[in-house]
Order: sequence, then structure tokens, then C-alpha cells
Amino acid sequence: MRVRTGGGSIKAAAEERLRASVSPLLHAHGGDVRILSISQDGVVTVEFCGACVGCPLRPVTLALLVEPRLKTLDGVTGVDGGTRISAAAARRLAEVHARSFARGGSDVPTSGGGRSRETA
Amino acid sequence: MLQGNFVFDCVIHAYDMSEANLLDRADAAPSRASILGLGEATRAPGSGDYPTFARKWADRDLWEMVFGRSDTDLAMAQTVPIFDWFKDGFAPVRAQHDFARAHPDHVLFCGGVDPSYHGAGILDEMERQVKDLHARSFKFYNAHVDGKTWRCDDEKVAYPMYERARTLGIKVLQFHKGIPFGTQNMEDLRPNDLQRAARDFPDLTFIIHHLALPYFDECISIAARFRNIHLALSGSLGFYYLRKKEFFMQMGRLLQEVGSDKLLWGSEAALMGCPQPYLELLWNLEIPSDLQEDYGFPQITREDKRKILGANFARLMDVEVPAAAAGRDPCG
Repeated sequence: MRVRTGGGSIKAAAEERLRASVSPLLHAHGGDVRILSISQDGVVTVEFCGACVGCPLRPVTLALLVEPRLKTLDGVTGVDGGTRISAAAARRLAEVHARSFARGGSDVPTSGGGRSRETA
Repeated sequence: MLQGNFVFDCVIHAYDMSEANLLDRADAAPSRASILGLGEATRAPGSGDYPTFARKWADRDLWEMVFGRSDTDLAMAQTVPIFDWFKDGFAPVRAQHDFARAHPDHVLFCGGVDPSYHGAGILDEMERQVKDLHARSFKFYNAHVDGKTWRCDDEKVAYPMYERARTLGIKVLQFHKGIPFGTQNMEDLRPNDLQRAARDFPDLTFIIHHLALPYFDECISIAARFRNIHLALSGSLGFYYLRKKEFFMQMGRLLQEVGSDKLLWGSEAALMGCPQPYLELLWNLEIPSDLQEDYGFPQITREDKRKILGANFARLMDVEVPAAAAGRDPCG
């Protein structure tokens, strides 16, 4: 389900979404994420902070948590988390997220497996 | 230029492994042999057709190897302050400076000091190397025999050197990590002691050479987490010819976890021979599809290669990339 931003800015809505449903989870690991910019075509660029910096599981966090939460907002077309994985890994993440949502394991719909920059 | 890309080699050495430079001690020749053996084991085919590498490299020979026979545009001649077995050090200050002075448009001088050798005069020597010899960076080698090892996060030994470097306007400090020469304690060359140093000197950039092998996992984690720590691929491409899959694994992890913005091309000439085979290897490098599938490694792009070949080190050293390279289409 798409969530309307209610006439407010996409950035404000995205920041609120992260604050409410992403940061608390990352804080449990000593990490966090913040918005760096939003492009004209709706791609949100985020930066991981704290213990998330350098964590090898950032692509998973991006694909299974951050991007699904943000992509349900009106106007958000993608999320760039500064991570790079192969197309094969992105596909696997998309599949596991889709299965999780189908079983009710997530409160947001499938997003496409994260927007780690893919080069394959 | 390599395919229109600026090539800035972050580490070459006008080293002196001649008999005349060996100290009169039992472990000097075996230690030299271990350094030579590393080169022989990993040198690219066609890169090292020289009669011997147990020698002192003269200006003309090194120039021909690095600039005459390869696409290298600019290189940093690095002092290696290992005095355990060499009278004047493995790669002496004077030889690096002479090479840079002879080719000012192509070679930058990197100084080097060590507390065990320079003693109480070490800070004055740093100042001399910067003010008189125009050092642009410093190289450190903290592991030694005879109890002379020091830690890179030692407030009394290491930090005064960093502070003096900062005062002298030096922004980039470089460290040999991993790949011990001779019989030094392996663990003294773990990169872990650079973490606190990087925290305490956030305005300085710390470069880890040789991927700290065999401490690769630590090296990856540290470089991924510390904004001011970069990795030099010094000599690492030679492992392609010996352990190809392991080399691909290393490159895949570097791209995925550290990122190409923090990787620096370094040939380790003269020990590793002519840089050209390695440059061509890097330019033609592709992460194999099975590793992309199994490990999620991203494919390496031409933009990655442009950064690694020279753009990253140029940024760190405040060197302007020639317009012909800076203006090229990175996807072209």
C-alpha cells in the first residue's frame, strides 16, 4: 500500500518513516541511518551511521528494512545506500523479502530487493 | 595513460639489496632472500626479465622499468625504513629523493623514519626530509627484530611523529602491514593498531599497504569503518598469477565492503618488476560470474578502475589529474 505524504515534503515523510520504524531497530545494534539527499526522480540516498558503518550486512539491512520502509511513500522510487552487491545477490534478497511478506513477516510490501548499486 | 586513464603508482622503491648494503649479521642475507623470494614467487610473467633483483637500482634502470616500459604517468618513490639488516635501509632516503629530483614531473618523494634508527633526532629528521628534500608523505615499518618494534598507536613513540607530520603539512601517512620481511613477529604487522591512531588523528589519512596479508579480514573491517584509512594494492596483483581465485575473492570483497574510492594502485616496482603486466591485468579485470552469484560481489567497472589507477591517490596527494584524463567519459 502506498502511503501519501499528505502534501508535505518527501524528505520530511522519509525522515519520519526512518525515525519511527527503522532507526529503533538499528539502534539495537548501535547503528543508524540518515537521509543524505533525494533526487528529482525520487531516489533517496541514505548513509549508514554508527555500527552500521563498515558492517558487511549493510546490503541486507538496506534491502530488507530500509528500502521497503521508504518505498511505500509517495514519490519515493528507490533507495541508494552506498552499498554494492551483484545482481544475483540483489535477486536473492528480493526473493527472501517477497516470501517474508507473503507469510506476514513484514509490514510492508515487496520492494524489489534493495538498491545496492548493481553492476552485473 | 592507460586507455585514457591517469596512472598514479602510489608505491615504487629504488631499493638497495646489494651486498654492500647488507649489515654484517647472520640474519641479514636470509632476510634479504625472503624479500627476493616474495618477488620471485609472485612476479608477473614478462615483468621481471632482469639478471638479478639482489641489487641497487640505478636511476636509469628504474626509470626504464616504470616509465619507459609501462603506462605510468606519476609515481611515489617510497623510503622503506628497515634498518634491521640494511646499513642504509631497504629503500634509502637518498635514493628515493635522488630519483624524484631527477624526474620532478613524474616522481614524488616519500620520506621515511624509524624510532629505532633515528632515535632522539627523529623529529628533526622528519623536518629535514620535508623542508630540504620535499617529502610529500612518510612511510613507516613498525615491526623489527632485536626488540625494536613499536606500535602505531603508541602515544609516546608514534604520536609525536604524526603530530610533527601534521605540523609540516603532511596529510598522508603510510604503513607497511602484513607480509613480514624476515623473521619479525607476524603479529607486530597486524593493522589493528592503526584504528586508535585513525581515531585520534581524524585529519590525517592512513594508508595500509599489502592488504595487511594474511590479516585480510581485519584490514577489510578497518578500512570499511574508518573514513581516513585507505588501502594500497601494493604488490597484491601479483597473487593473480599464483592464486587466481583467491585474488578474485580479495578484489570482490574490497569492492563490496571497502569500495573503490579507497583503493590505490601500487606496483611495488622494482621488486615486482615492470608495472605494465599488472596494469593490463587491472584494466582487463572482471569479477567472475560464479563469485558474483555465490558471494554477491559486484562487477568491477571502468569507473572503479579509473579511481584505483590514479584518481584516488591524486585526490589524497592534492595532485591535479591531467585534463585529458579528467575530462574523459568514464564509461567510454
